[in-house]
Amino acid sequence: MSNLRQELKKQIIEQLNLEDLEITDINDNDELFGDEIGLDSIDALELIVLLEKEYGIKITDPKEGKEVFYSVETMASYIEKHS
Amino acid sequence: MKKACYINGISSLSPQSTAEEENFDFQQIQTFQKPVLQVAFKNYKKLIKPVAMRRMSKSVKMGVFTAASALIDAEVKTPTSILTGTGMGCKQDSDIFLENLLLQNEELLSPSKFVQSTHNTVGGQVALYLKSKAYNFTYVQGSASFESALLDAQLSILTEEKPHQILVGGIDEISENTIGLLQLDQQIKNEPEIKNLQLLDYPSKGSIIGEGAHFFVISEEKTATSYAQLLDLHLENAIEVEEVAIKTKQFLAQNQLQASDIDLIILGNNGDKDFDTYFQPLQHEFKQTPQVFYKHLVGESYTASAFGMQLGVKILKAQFIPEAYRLNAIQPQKAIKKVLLYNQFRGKNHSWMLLAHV
Amino acid sequence: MSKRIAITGMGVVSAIGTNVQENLLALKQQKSGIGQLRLLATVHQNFPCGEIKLTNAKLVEELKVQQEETFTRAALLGVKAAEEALQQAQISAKHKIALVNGTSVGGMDYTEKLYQDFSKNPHTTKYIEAQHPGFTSDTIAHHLGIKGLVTTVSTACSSGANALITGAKLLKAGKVETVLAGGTDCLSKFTLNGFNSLKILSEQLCQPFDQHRKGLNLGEGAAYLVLETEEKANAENKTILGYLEGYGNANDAFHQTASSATGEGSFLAMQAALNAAHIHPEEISYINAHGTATENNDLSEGIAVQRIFKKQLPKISSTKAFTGHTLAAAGAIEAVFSLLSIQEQKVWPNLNFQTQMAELSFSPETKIVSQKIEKVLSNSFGFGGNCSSLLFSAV
Repeated sequence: MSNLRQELKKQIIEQLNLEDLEITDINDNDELFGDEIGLDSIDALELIVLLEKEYGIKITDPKEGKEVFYSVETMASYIEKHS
Repeated sequence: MKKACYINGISSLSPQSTAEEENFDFQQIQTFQKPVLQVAFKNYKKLIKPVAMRRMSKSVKMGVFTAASALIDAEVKTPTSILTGTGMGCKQDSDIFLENLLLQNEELLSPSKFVQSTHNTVGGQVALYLKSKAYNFTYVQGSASFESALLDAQLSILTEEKPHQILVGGIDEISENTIGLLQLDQQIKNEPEIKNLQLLDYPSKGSIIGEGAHFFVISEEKTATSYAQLLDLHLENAIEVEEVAIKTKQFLAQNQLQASDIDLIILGNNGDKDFDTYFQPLQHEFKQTPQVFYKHLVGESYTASAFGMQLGVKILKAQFIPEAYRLNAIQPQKAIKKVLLYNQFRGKNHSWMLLAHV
Repeated sequence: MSKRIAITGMGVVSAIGTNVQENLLALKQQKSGIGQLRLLATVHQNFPCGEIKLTNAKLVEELKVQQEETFTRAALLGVKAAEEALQQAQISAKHKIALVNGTSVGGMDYTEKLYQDFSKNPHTTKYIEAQHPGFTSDTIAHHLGIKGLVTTVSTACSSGANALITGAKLLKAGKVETVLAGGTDCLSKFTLNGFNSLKILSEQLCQPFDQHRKGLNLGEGAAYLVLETEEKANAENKTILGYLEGYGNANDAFHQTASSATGEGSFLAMQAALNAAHIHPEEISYINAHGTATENNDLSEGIAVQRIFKKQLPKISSTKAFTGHTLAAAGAIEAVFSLLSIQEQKVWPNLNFQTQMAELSFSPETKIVSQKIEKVLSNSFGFGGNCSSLLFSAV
């Protein structure tokens, strides 16, 4: 399994304060904003901050975030493409 | 015909709570050696789902928990309004947002921290938790913050022709980040070690600080389990020491009472040598009356007086004055029927509350 | 039992003027006060704001503030607007009146300026307490000579409107005879960065209710109304500017910051205001909308308005494109604009509007409309799902 994906899961849990989740609870393809993880619009903004802070990638339009943050997998491929 | 306000449910989280049990006990007293008294309670899961808790700061957790348990205590499902008072709101997150803003030169800031910084966060989160679309107000007025919310509860009952089940509470939390500033500002005593039970024996400026959340359910409807009645309350923004006794008598007179009708007085002494002078006129005026205080047990905070009210309500119900809270040695000569509370902070935001046995 | 609440004085300071007359003139000339920041020292100069181009030093001089009084900018703006209101209502015995203030950040401008220096400069420690909003209200009360009941409502962007509700309740219950109620907030790095972190600030002039709106512009200001019972105002032969005929507050209980798609909270608030005033929706001539120009607010508010008024919509506009979103002051400033609308018999225009929103069946007014205006609804919504609606009526 890729390190980037693992690293992302750890960062998501930390940044979003998902205290009760373990890295193993999040699958690469789980829908982050759906029933599985249950994130909301403020979390999406936190993820934008996370991408910029940790990977230097700027997303200016929150709407673009929707596709990028669909799952850990989509986030990872976006990072791989843009870094 | 003046409508009455009955207190039908209570819940409190304070430095007197234990890790497991929220409500304070008259016999089991928590003691502290430092001037910062934190709430040790951990058992929020009893009422709040872990997933809902992840973005809740301490004051939100304390507020939602005590709001929910006060409703359970009153056997009320849906409140007709949610009223909160807080001096500082979610201070921890506000301080973190501010510090990051300054350190990171206004870049890469967490929106969650900002969202928490609005003072009505607890009120809003209680509404979310209860899925309540009811009237929802938050007051922020120094040491009269909780009293302002309580005043709104009284106004609602007096002016609106409908049944009320009002959830009203006071919430404040300690922020580690600004303890130093409160020391600098002489709000916290500078002695390295302070035994809280001897708070009034330190002849210095400042006090010890605390935190907590205290909720009440208030209705015009008396129930079989009503705790007490709130007869009236009064606020004054700025008065002189010399006016305290006069204002107190005026307030009692407005309620057709005189000093001799009061069976117990609860004062907000916090050991600050510059401002405890405000309590002296009443300590003198009511020297034949049993007196209690509470800030040595829960610390000073802008909503500490909400704890004072919980104490008054519990004493009225139990007809018993716990030893650790006594300010003088006078024993009650008869049943405790009327309780007067007076509080102020640094000479500002004075409040009087009058409770009666039911 | 139910006493009618009369308004006998009003005062306002905003980006479009430092008193009621200047604000009225700008509204009539359709002149916005939003533009480049000049006073607030922030890295985010790309966001236009409704900044009042009066420095604190200038305000201190104008208001004759004494050295020992500890003034934050919100307090300075507050005193300026409050003095105008008290003067119009001819209030001399200030110790007899209550102040119900609305503010969200209070003295945060000083906190953010001094936070790292408190320990170095002993003379600044008096501002440590300034972080809590009550401090700003205390300062205003002290300067005005108000010593009795002083309280502060802090429900984010509906604070000013809610302060008026609490003021009306105090009068109805007979707790006090005269209330000075309203709100004040100044621009601060704290709020600018906060709204920026939520990505709801626009780099262009805001476009309320426009299909292509890009977010809000922040503003600053203060406004206060003097409220008295009709009975007292008449007994003292005072000129009544209008009545606060009804009000409602409800919670959206949907999300901490976002409004629900059905506008449930705003719907309930408007409905409660109408019910309290015993008024049918068709009697409303104008809605001064909250209309912040964020994607979420305007949609939610628009849907709620349609749910209340069905096919018979009154004229509607948001005046945020004049002043910017002045947070806790907004409800009070817009209360003044609503009363001016009644006084002038004019609907104020919704500046910068071009394209109707696809989801809504109405467009706001883009030009001044002269018509008979008897009853105006003014909306204010805030974080925490807090929704309020005030109903003003002509004399």
